[in-house]
Amino acid sequence: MRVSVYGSGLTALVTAWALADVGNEVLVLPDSATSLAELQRLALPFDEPGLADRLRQQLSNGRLRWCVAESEVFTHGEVHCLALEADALAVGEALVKRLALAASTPIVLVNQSTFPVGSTQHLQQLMFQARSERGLNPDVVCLSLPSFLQEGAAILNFTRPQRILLGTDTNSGLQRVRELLRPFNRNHEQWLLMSTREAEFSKYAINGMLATKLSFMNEMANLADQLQVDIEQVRKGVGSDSRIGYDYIYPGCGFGGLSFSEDVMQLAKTVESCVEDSRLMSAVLDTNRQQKELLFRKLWQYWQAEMRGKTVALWGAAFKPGTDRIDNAPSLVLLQALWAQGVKVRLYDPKAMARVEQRFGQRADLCCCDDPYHALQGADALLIATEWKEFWSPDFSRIAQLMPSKLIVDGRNIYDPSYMKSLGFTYIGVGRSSGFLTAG
Amino acid sequence: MSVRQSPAWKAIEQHAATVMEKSTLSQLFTQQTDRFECFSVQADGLLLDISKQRINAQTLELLVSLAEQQRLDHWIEAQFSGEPINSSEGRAALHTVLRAPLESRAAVDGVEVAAGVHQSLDKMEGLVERIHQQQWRGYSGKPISDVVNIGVGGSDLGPLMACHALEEFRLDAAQQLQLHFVSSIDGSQLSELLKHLNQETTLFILSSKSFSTIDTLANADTAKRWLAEKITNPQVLLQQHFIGCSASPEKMSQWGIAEANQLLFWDWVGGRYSVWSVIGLPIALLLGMTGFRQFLAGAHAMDLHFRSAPLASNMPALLALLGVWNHNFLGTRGHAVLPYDGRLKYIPNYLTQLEMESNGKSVNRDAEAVDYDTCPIIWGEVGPNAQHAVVHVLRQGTQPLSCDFIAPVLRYRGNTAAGTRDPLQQQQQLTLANCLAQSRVLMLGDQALTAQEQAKLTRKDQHYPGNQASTTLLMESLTPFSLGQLVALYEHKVFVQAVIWEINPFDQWGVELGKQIAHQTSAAIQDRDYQFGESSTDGLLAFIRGVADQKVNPQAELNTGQQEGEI
Repeated sequence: MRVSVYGSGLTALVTAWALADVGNEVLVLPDSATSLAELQRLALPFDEPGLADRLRQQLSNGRLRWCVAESEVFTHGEVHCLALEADALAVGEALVKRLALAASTPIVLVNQSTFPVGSTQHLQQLMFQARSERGLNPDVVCLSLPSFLQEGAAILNFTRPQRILLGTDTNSGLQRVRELLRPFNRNHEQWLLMSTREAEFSKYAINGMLATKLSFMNEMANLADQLQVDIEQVRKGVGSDSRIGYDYIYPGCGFGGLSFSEDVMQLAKTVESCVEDSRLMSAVLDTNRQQKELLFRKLWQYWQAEMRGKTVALWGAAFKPGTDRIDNAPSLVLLQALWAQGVKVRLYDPKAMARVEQRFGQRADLCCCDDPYHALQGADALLIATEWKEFWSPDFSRIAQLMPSKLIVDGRNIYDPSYMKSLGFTYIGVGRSSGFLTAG
Repeated sequence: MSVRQSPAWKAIEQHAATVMEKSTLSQLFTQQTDRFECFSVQADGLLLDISKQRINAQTLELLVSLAEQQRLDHWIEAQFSGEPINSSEGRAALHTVLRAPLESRAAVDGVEVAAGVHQSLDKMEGLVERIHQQQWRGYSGKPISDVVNIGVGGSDLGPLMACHALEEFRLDAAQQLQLHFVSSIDGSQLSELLKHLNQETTLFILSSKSFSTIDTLANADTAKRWLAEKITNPQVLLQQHFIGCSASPEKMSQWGIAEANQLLFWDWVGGRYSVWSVIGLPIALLLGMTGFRQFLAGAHAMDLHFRSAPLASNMPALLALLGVWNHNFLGTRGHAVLPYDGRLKYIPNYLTQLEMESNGKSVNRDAEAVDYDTCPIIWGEVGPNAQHAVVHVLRQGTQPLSCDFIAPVLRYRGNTAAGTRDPLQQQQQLTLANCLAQSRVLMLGDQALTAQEQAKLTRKDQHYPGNQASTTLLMESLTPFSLGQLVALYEHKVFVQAVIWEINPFDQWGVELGKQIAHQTSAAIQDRDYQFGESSTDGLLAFIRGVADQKVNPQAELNTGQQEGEI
């Protein structure tokens, strides 16, 4: 099948690759923020393991092509996949109006962008109207295919989905989209069909639920701090209840990420403006905002507000391991809080440092180090904000040597408090007051 | 020689007796159809209409001569250049420098002061930005969400008045910031407030020029004790939870305010003129420094007008001279300030303090008793509400009184709740209509009605003579700038009147006396045997001691209904 994909984010490129991989002819129109030259060099605006190589393969066999001429991409697709960023609704509106006039009918548009609930219907209406006004056959259908891709695992998420949640308001177009996605629906029947609005809202509700689990667990962790219990033991107890499960209950210094955080914010806004007296989602977000400052606050309390002139090593800036994205990451909040108190930061992150430098520019109180131990030189404390694999088992004696204060504030609970104590470290985790131990 | 014996004063007395006392406002308007053109002034977006005053062209000329005779121009220059015009305390009164650009020149004892003023503002800007960026943190590391201004008199009323007036100009970065004002020595405001605030996120501003005002220090000590319930490290408590605004860095340090948290002003700024200084910190927290600087710029614009406009079209001078005319020559017994805008709710209180604390004096600059009236009683209320209360005495009472109507013309242009913009704009129209209607009724009485309507008023008690003089001040809209203009306008009015009355408006010995006696009396309440030898206070003390004794008796406590609970 011939497919046109609009966008250059994670969802757009994974969709484009996966569809080309199973034999479709795919044309991609990148969004205006992405440079074609960089795409051609496969310098992607995000880091997804294995994606660049896979794209290269499909580009070289010609089933996947970048395209800048709207006229070509509009007439190419038998299915059009709209996968823009969540804040690009206006761009999407303008785009589908032009598409409506240029493409030949029937036009089948699959909206994968996380736009507000009702947007897919709204886009269909716009296209219908655009064609009707010109006296053209208004045979247009828009379906909603919410994206459930997790950064770092997006390829598998697309090719081996747990379910394919598809929103459609009529039967037309459905057959064509089912055919397009058939190769990814092989293990067992994964179709979940509902209306476009329901599909869009499901996406929001799932993210809302996950965020609620995280914030709930973080609140429990803060209570654990005060009640002298170790939240890590509690987490195992809670997760063992099959009604709750082990996912999304790791306490830590807050969740970030572009799509997840912003979806939850969007949901909170929708809920606030449409429903009276709903406070849960804003509480979830507020808890998370507080949580992002947690490491700073623990350090502030430990140092009794005397922070001026101190130097802190920060391990991890990405919002999660395996990505270079720093959107809404706790590290951003931490950096600003530390700087505001006159603290110098020595940062190490295996992937995200360039993004941090890009965001904040050169500053005297930020030193990006190319090695985690280099970051520890002259540091009065070590903060861990991202649980990169290489942080899990570091050379503790070298840490102790480089940082005589032996103070570690761990935002991801990756170390064992009693072992840290035996090494003579002052170790402060999230919700681990039993591990709140002072050196010597 | 008292000003009362001076030629200019005598001439006005004679003019009042022979010409003006006999003419009513309605006659004056019949005789002269272009009164508004002759007796109104416009400048910098303000309109001052004095045509509803009981004056004619000659009155104005004579009043201007009085100001000239009193060498007003000399005094204005003396004030602006920093001469020690506060004679009893040997100090300058340079609040005008607080709102002047950096390059302005004024020296106190030969030292230029503008640079210091701007340094102080810059330091304040640093603190304001840290709070707005949510990087000013309480002891537990959480950002500050509530700021409590503890101050009294000028250290309270100015910021309170301005913050109330300018709420709609709240900066985005200040959306989550709650501002509270605590002033009264009895702790009424503080006790309620502290029940709802959280120690982690509360910051106190201690504002006191002398930093020895008992009202403020008593509240501050209570606040400190409240914080200490949660904060064990006294240094963190002081450093993260108190900012001081004062002219006395020594006293601030003594109390424990960290040097970095000390904001300074100077003894040449009177407390009631200090809203332009770091005392305005709550205003800056609300508006941001840009907004606060607009407020200063408005006042500076009024300063320029005051210094340069000829007396006959000089707004502060006219307000002052009309006050003297009404009060000293036409025998009015009081002066009401009626803002027709709820945002200006605290303007009457503010002006009450400004005018009465400044000019409520009975001796002249040479400490001799004066033989004429000085500051009248000033009172007021939001106009439309006052119409249901104090305005009755203006309309139907026995005493001649004067009043100022103040109103912005445009309001509710934006930032209104959904669906309310049109009805609110209609309410604004209604408010303006009421403002104009009241001044018209005060002026004309029944004659404001048509002949037909008048004929219906058959009962004697329904008759209302009018002839109450008023001034109307309109501004295009209420903004930080125009509020600055308004307050500076009245400051200069007070100054001009002080020059006419030959008094020093910048000292306040009465307050000091009260402070001393209160201190003594506080000791007397505790000391059971202390007697003043004056039966009234001794009698009151005996009653207080008696009631207090009963209350400390636990049996008495039980009898009031408190029972031991069962678990």
